[in-house]
Amino acid sequence: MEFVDYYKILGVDKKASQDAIKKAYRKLARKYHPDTNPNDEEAKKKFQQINEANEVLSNPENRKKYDEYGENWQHAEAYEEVKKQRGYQSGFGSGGSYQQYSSSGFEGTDFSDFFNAAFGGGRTGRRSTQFRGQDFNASLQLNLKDVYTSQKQVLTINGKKIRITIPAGVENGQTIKIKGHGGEGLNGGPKGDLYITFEIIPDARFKRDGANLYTEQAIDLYTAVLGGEAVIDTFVDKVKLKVKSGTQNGTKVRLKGKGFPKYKKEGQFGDLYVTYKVNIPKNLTDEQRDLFTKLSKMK
Amino acid sequence: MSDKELISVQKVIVHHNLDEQFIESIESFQLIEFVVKDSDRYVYIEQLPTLEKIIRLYYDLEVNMQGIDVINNMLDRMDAMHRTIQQLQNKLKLYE
Repeated sequence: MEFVDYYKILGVDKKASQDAIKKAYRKLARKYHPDTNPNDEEAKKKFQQINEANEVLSNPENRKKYDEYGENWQHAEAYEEVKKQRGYQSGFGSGGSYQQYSSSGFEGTDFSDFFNAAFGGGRTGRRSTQFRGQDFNASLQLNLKDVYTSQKQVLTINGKKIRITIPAGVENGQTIKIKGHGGEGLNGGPKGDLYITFEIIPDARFKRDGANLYTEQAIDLYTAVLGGEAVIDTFVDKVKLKVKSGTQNGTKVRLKGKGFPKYKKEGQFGDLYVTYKVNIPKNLTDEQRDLFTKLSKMK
Repeated sequence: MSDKELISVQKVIVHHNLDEQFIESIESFQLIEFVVKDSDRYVYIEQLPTLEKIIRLYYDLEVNMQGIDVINNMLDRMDAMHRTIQQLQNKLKLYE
């Protein structure tokens, strides 16, 4: 377990007054508060450290214990025992205030191991400030076809099962908030929220931009030159398209409404853009070669 | 908007131990939209998290109403920028 330098965390001197500690805490809390740094894990960790440092240093009894034992805080109880046996008057009582910390009902999971070991894993009850619980972040990997239709899924987050509906058309990198499924609040504060970020695995055949889809379709040279029909795979079915004579390689056609569902707009779809890739015949027969030669001389 | 989607501001005041002046400041800075019915003030339930955020910023972090307004605007802009970046990243994938 690593020793935590609370003075360093708050950026104050060991002789700092209570007022200076309060000022330093306020300044850092404003900078790293979860409300002003949404979805920022680093800021959240920093805020917890600042809170923990303030819990210790703003309370004279806690601060005294921390100052007295410093890096030897692990042996605090043993020292106290020796002191008692020798008839010393303890600076912070014989465990009475220690009981107060742990009886406040606060779950010490947001505090460092150092804090939990040294101060019994609890806060002092004097603060009435309520803090919203920690927001949880999770990511969910899905295939493109998984988000073509809305679907219900059961996720296990921190051992709890949460039923969520993933709306059709959700985008890669999009985050949805599940209210009240984050960490417990502090001092009776509200629970945090759960943020789920979707990671959509790229599809081999369809590229996506918002609700529009892009795909390539191979057509043979003869269809491109003379015109004809091509069967195109859309995301869900097949459609037959007329190919104009003289279609160039790279020609793009738009199939209106054949793209991806628009997020939270039921019944609305983007478009599908099909780029024709003209296949040039490779292994020509002698007859074909003659015909192409004839054609080339007719230019 | 049905009454079920509204909550009495008086209840919020009692629950969070606020003073009336605080609510009036929020109203004057237009940080939250209140609904007045029969001379009582109500807030939309969906706006409660925003109201509670304002309470935390004001009382815990001692940010004044002007500061809260600035923070809200900047967070909105950050959110919009984050969405734009994500859209651009998704667009870039088309060319990969």
